[in-house]
Amino acid sequence: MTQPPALRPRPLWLTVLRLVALVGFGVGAFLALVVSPPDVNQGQLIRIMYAHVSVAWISFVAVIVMSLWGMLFLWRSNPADDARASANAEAAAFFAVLTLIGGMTYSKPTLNTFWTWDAKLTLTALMFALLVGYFIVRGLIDDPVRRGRVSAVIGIVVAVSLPFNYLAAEWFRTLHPAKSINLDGSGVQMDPTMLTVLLANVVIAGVVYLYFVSERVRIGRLEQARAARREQDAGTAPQEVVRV
Amino acid sequence: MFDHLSHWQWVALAWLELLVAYAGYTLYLSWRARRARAPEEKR
Repeated sequence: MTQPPALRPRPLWLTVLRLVALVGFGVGAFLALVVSPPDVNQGQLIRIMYAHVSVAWISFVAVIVMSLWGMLFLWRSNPADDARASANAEAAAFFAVLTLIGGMTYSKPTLNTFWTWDAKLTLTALMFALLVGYFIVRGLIDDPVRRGRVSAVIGIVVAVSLPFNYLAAEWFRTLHPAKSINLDGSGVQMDPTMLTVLLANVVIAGVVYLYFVSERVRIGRLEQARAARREQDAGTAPQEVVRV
Repeated sequence: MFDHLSHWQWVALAWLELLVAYAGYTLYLSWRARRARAPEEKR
Protein backbone atom coordinates (compact mmCIF):
# COMPACT_ATOMS: atom_id res chain seq x y z
CA MET A 1 0.00 0.00 0.00
CA THR A 2 1.34 3.44 -0.91
CA GLN A 3 2.15 5.69 2.02
CA PRO A 4 0.66 9.18 2.15
CA PRO A 5 3.24 11.91 1.36
CA ALA A 6 3.51 12.99 5.01
CA LEU A 7 4.72 9.55 6.07
CA ARG A 8 7.22 8.97 3.30
CA PRO A 9 10.83 9.01 4.49
CA ARG A 10 13.30 11.53 3.10
CA PRO A 11 14.05 10.56 -0.53
CA LEU A 12 17.47 9.04 -1.17
CA TRP A 13 18.59 11.86 -3.47
CA LEU A 14 18.00 14.38 -0.67
CA THR A 15 20.04 12.31 1.79
CA VAL A 16 22.81 12.08 -0.81
CA LEU A 17 22.61 15.86 -1.37
CA ARG A 18 22.96 16.42 2.38
CA LEU A 19 26.03 14.18 2.45
CA VAL A 20 27.55 15.99 -0.55
CA ALA A 21 26.91 19.35 1.16
CA LEU A 22 28.53 18.13 4.38
CA VAL A 23 31.61 16.74 2.63
CA GLY A 24 31.69 19.83 0.38
CA PHE A 25 31.82 22.12 3.40
CA GLY A 26 34.87 20.23 4.67
CA VAL A 27 36.55 20.41 1.25
CA GLY A 28 35.77 24.14 0.94
CA ALA A 29 37.20 24.85 4.39
CA PHE A 30 40.32 22.81 3.55
CA LEU A 31 40.84 24.73 0.31
CA ALA A 32 40.37 28.08 2.06
CA LEU A 33 42.37 27.34 5.20
CA VAL A 34 45.19 25.20 3.78
CA VAL A 35 45.45 25.39 -0.02
CA SER A 36 44.95 29.14 -0.57
CA PRO A 37 48.09 31.25 -0.28
CA PRO A 38 48.05 34.27 2.06
CA ASP A 39 47.29 37.60 0.42
CA VAL A 40 50.06 40.13 -0.13
CA ASN A 41 48.05 42.86 1.65
CA GLN A 42 45.63 41.04 3.94
CA GLY A 43 47.83 38.12 4.89
CA GLN A 44 45.89 35.19 6.41
CA LEU A 45 42.70 37.28 6.63
CA ILE A 46 42.04 36.56 2.94
CA ARG A 47 40.77 33.14 4.11
CA ILE A 48 37.68 34.88 5.53
CA MET A 49 36.88 36.17 2.03
CA TYR A 50 36.07 32.65 0.74
CA ALA A 51 33.42 32.17 3.45
CA HIS A 52 32.01 35.68 3.08
CA VAL A 53 31.86 36.08 -0.71
CA SER A 54 30.44 32.59 -1.35
CA VAL A 55 27.43 33.09 0.95
CA ALA A 56 26.92 36.64 -0.36
CA TRP A 57 26.67 35.38 -3.96
CA ILE A 58 24.34 32.57 -2.94
CA SER A 59 22.07 35.03 -1.12
CA PHE A 60 21.76 36.88 -4.46
CA VAL A 61 20.97 33.63 -6.26
CA ALA A 62 18.30 32.75 -3.68
CA VAL A 63 16.69 36.20 -4.09
CA ILE A 64 16.60 35.82 -7.90
CA VAL A 65 15.09 32.31 -7.69
CA MET A 66 12.58 33.51 -5.08
CA SER A 67 11.44 36.37 -7.32
CA LEU A 68 11.14 34.04 -10.35
CA TRP A 69 8.88 31.63 -8.43
CA GLY A 70 6.95 34.66 -7.15
CA MET A 71 6.45 35.91 -10.73
CA LEU A 72 5.24 32.45 -11.74
CA PHE A 73 2.76 32.52 -8.87
CA LEU A 74 1.47 35.94 -10.00
CA TRP A 75 1.04 34.53 -13.49
CA ARG A 76 -0.64 31.16 -12.83
CA SER A 77 -1.58 31.20 -9.08
CA ASN A 78 -0.21 27.72 -8.51
CA PRO A 79 0.27 27.27 -4.73
CA ALA A 80 3.35 25.12 -5.38
CA ASP A 81 5.11 28.17 -6.85
CA ASP A 82 4.39 30.11 -3.68
CA ALA A 83 5.79 27.24 -1.58
CA ARG A 84 9.00 27.27 -3.66
CA ALA A 85 9.24 31.06 -3.49
CA SER A 86 8.90 31.10 0.30
CA ALA A 87 11.48 28.30 0.69
CA ASN A 88 13.91 30.40 -1.37
CA ALA A 89 13.02 33.51 0.65
CA GLU A 90 13.96 31.67 3.83
CA ALA A 91 17.25 30.57 2.27
CA ALA A 92 17.88 34.13 1.01
CA ALA A 93 17.32 35.53 4.52
CA PHE A 94 19.59 32.85 5.99
CA PHE A 95 22.44 33.57 3.56
CA ALA A 96 21.89 37.34 3.83
CA VAL A 97 22.33 37.29 7.60
CA LEU A 98 25.41 35.10 7.16
CA THR A 99 26.72 37.68 4.67
CA LEU A 100 26.18 40.50 7.18
CA ILE A 101 27.77 38.67 10.12
CA GLY A 102 30.63 37.31 7.98
CA GLY A 103 31.17 40.77 6.51
CA MET A 104 31.50 42.27 9.98
CA THR A 105 33.95 39.53 10.96
CA TYR A 106 35.99 40.34 7.82
CA SER A 107 35.68 44.10 8.20
CA LYS A 108 36.87 44.50 11.79
CA PRO A 109 40.43 43.16 11.36
CA THR A 110 40.89 44.57 7.83
CA LEU A 111 39.14 47.98 8.03
CA ASN A 112 39.07 48.41 11.82
CA THR A 113 35.29 48.71 12.02
CA PHE A 114 32.45 46.21 12.23
CA TRP A 115 29.95 48.40 10.41
CA THR A 116 29.45 51.65 8.54
CA TRP A 117 26.25 52.96 6.98
CA ASP A 118 27.57 53.24 3.43
CA ALA A 119 25.59 52.25 0.34
CA LYS A 120 26.82 48.66 -0.05
CA LEU A 121 26.34 47.64 3.57
CA THR A 122 23.08 49.54 3.95
CA LEU A 123 21.61 47.93 0.82
CA THR A 124 22.55 44.48 2.12
CA ALA A 125 20.95 45.26 5.49
CA LEU A 126 17.89 46.58 3.65
CA MET A 127 17.70 43.36 1.62
CA PHE A 128 17.69 41.34 4.85
CA ALA A 129 15.08 43.67 6.42
CA LEU A 130 12.82 43.24 3.36
CA LEU A 131 13.18 39.46 3.60
CA VAL A 132 12.18 39.60 7.28
CA GLY A 133 9.22 41.77 6.21
CA TYR A 134 8.32 39.12 3.62
CA PHE A 135 7.70 36.60 6.42
CA ILE A 136 5.98 39.10 8.72
CA VAL A 137 3.51 39.92 5.93
CA ARG A 138 2.95 36.22 5.20
CA GLY A 139 2.09 35.68 8.85
CA LEU A 140 -0.52 38.43 8.73
CA ILE A 141 -2.51 37.18 5.69
CA ASP A 142 -4.74 34.10 5.99
CA ASP A 143 -5.93 33.86 2.40
CA PRO A 144 -3.25 31.76 0.60
CA VAL A 145 -3.75 33.41 -2.81
CA ARG A 146 -3.53 36.96 -1.46
CA ARG A 147 -0.62 35.95 0.77
CA GLY A 148 1.23 34.50 -2.22
CA ARG A 149 0.60 37.58 -4.36
CA VAL A 150 1.67 40.12 -1.74
CA SER A 151 4.81 38.17 -0.84
CA ALA A 152 5.61 37.70 -4.56
CA VAL A 153 5.55 41.50 -5.00
CA ILE A 154 7.84 41.94 -1.97
CA GLY A 155 10.14 39.31 -3.47
CA ILE A 156 10.29 41.22 -6.76
CA VAL A 157 11.10 44.46 -4.89
CA VAL A 158 14.01 42.68 -3.16
CA ALA A 159 15.23 41.40 -6.54
CA VAL A 160 15.06 44.93 -8.03
CA SER A 161 17.45 46.12 -5.30
CA LEU A 162 20.09 43.53 -6.29
CA PRO A 163 21.74 45.42 -9.22
CA PHE A 164 22.14 48.49 -6.99
CA ASN A 165 23.68 46.30 -4.28
CA TYR A 166 25.98 44.58 -6.80
CA LEU A 167 27.23 47.86 -8.28
CA ALA A 168 27.19 49.92 -5.05
CA ALA A 169 30.94 49.50 -4.53
CA GLU A 170 31.51 51.09 -7.99
CA TRP A 171 28.86 53.79 -7.88
CA PHE A 172 29.15 55.08 -4.32
CA ARG A 173 31.84 55.98 -1.83
CA THR A 174 32.19 52.87 0.34
CA LEU A 175 34.60 51.00 2.60
CA HIS A 176 33.64 47.78 0.80
CA PRO A 177 36.36 46.65 -1.65
CA ALA A 178 35.64 46.95 -5.38
CA LYS A 179 34.88 43.77 -7.31
CA SER A 180 37.81 41.55 -8.30
CA ILE A 181 35.68 39.57 -10.74
CA ASN A 182 33.91 41.74 -13.29
CA LEU A 183 30.96 40.30 -15.16
CA ASP A 184 31.26 43.01 -17.82
CA GLY A 185 34.17 41.16 -19.46
CA SER A 186 36.91 43.44 -18.15
CA GLY A 187 38.58 40.50 -16.46
CA VAL A 188 39.62 39.02 -13.14
CA GLN A 189 42.13 40.69 -10.84
CA MET A 190 42.90 37.71 -8.63
CA ASP A 191 45.58 35.07 -8.20
CA PRO A 192 44.53 31.91 -10.15
CA THR A 193 44.75 29.67 -7.05
CA MET A 194 42.65 32.10 -5.03
CA LEU A 195 40.12 32.32 -7.86
CA THR A 196 39.84 28.52 -8.00
CA VAL A 197 39.37 28.29 -4.22
CA LEU A 198 36.75 31.06 -4.34
CA LEU A 199 34.78 29.48 -7.18
CA ALA A 200 34.95 26.06 -5.47
CA ASN A 201 33.54 27.60 -2.29
CA VAL A 202 30.77 29.33 -4.27
CA VAL A 203 29.78 25.97 -5.84
CA ILE A 204 29.86 24.28 -2.40
CA ALA A 205 27.71 27.05 -0.87
CA GLY A 206 25.39 26.48 -3.86
CA VAL A 207 25.08 22.79 -2.99
CA VAL A 208 24.32 23.68 0.64
CA TYR A 209 21.67 26.15 -0.60
CA LEU A 210 20.17 23.51 -2.90
CA TYR A 211 19.94 21.05 0.00
CA PHE A 212 18.36 23.59 2.34
CA VAL A 213 15.78 24.71 -0.23
CA SER A 214 14.90 21.15 -1.29
CA GLU A 215 14.47 20.07 2.31
CA ARG A 216 12.44 23.19 3.12
CA VAL A 217 10.10 22.61 0.15
CA ARG A 218 9.63 18.98 1.25
CA ILE A 219 8.77 20.12 4.78
CA GLY A 220 6.40 22.74 3.37
CA ARG A 221 4.62 19.95 1.51
CA LEU A 222 4.32 17.92 4.73
CA GLU A 223 2.88 20.95 6.51
CA GLN A 224 0.40 21.65 3.69
CA ALA A 225 -0.74 18.01 3.71
CA ARG A 226 -1.18 18.16 7.49
CA ALA A 227 -3.16 21.41 7.23
CA ALA A 228 -5.40 19.88 4.54
CA ARG A 229 -6.08 16.84 6.73
CA ARG A 230 -6.83 19.09 9.70
CA GLU A 231 -9.38 20.95 7.56
CA GLN A 232 -10.98 17.64 6.59
CA ASP A 233 -11.07 16.46 10.20
CA ALA A 234 -12.73 19.72 11.19
CA GLY A 235 -15.47 18.96 8.68
CA THR A 236 -14.77 21.92 6.45
CA ALA A 237 -14.35 21.79 2.69
CA PRO A 238 -11.13 19.97 1.73
CA GLN A 239 -8.28 22.27 0.74
CA GLU A 240 -6.28 21.86 -2.39
CA VAL A 241 -3.23 19.71 -1.65
CA VAL A 242 -0.24 21.44 -3.14
CA ARG A 243 2.07 19.34 -5.25
CA VAL A 244 5.60 20.63 -4.75
CA MET B 1 37.37 42.68 23.38
CA PHE B 2 38.25 41.89 19.76
CA ASP B 3 41.37 44.04 19.47
CA HIS B 4 43.79 41.37 20.66
CA LEU B 5 42.66 38.62 18.25
CA SER B 6 45.27 37.33 15.81
CA HIS B 7 44.57 36.97 12.08
CA TRP B 8 44.17 33.21 12.41
CA GLN B 9 41.69 33.68 15.27
CA TRP B 10 39.58 35.95 13.05
CA VAL B 11 39.73 33.35 10.29
CA ALA B 12 38.67 30.60 12.71
CA LEU B 13 35.82 32.79 13.98
CA ALA B 14 34.50 33.43 10.44
CA TRP B 15 34.52 29.74 9.50
CA LEU B 16 33.02 28.72 12.85
CA GLU B 17 30.16 31.14 12.21
CA LEU B 18 29.46 29.33 8.95
CA LEU B 19 29.68 25.89 10.57
CA VAL B 20 27.37 26.84 13.46
CA ALA B 21 24.86 28.49 11.09
CA TYR B 22 24.73 25.47 8.74
CA ALA B 23 24.40 23.06 11.68
CA GLY B 24 21.78 25.26 13.32
CA TYR B 25 19.66 25.55 10.18
CA THR B 26 19.89 21.79 9.62
CA LEU B 27 18.64 21.21 13.18
CA TYR B 28 15.83 23.73 12.59
CA LEU B 29 14.78 21.87 9.44
CA SER B 30 14.81 18.54 11.32
CA TRP B 31 12.61 20.06 14.03
CA ARG B 32 10.16 21.43 11.43
CA ALA B 33 10.02 18.03 9.71
CA ARG B 34 9.42 16.21 13.01
CA ARG B 35 6.69 18.69 13.92
CA ALA B 36 5.03 18.28 10.53
CA ARG B 37 5.04 14.48 10.83
CA ALA B 38 4.05 14.21 14.50
CA PRO B 39 0.22 14.16 14.12
CA GLU B 40 0.47 11.50 11.41
CA GLU B 41 2.60 9.19 13.52
CA LYS B 42 0.15 9.36 16.42
CA ARG B 43 -2.63 7.88 14.29
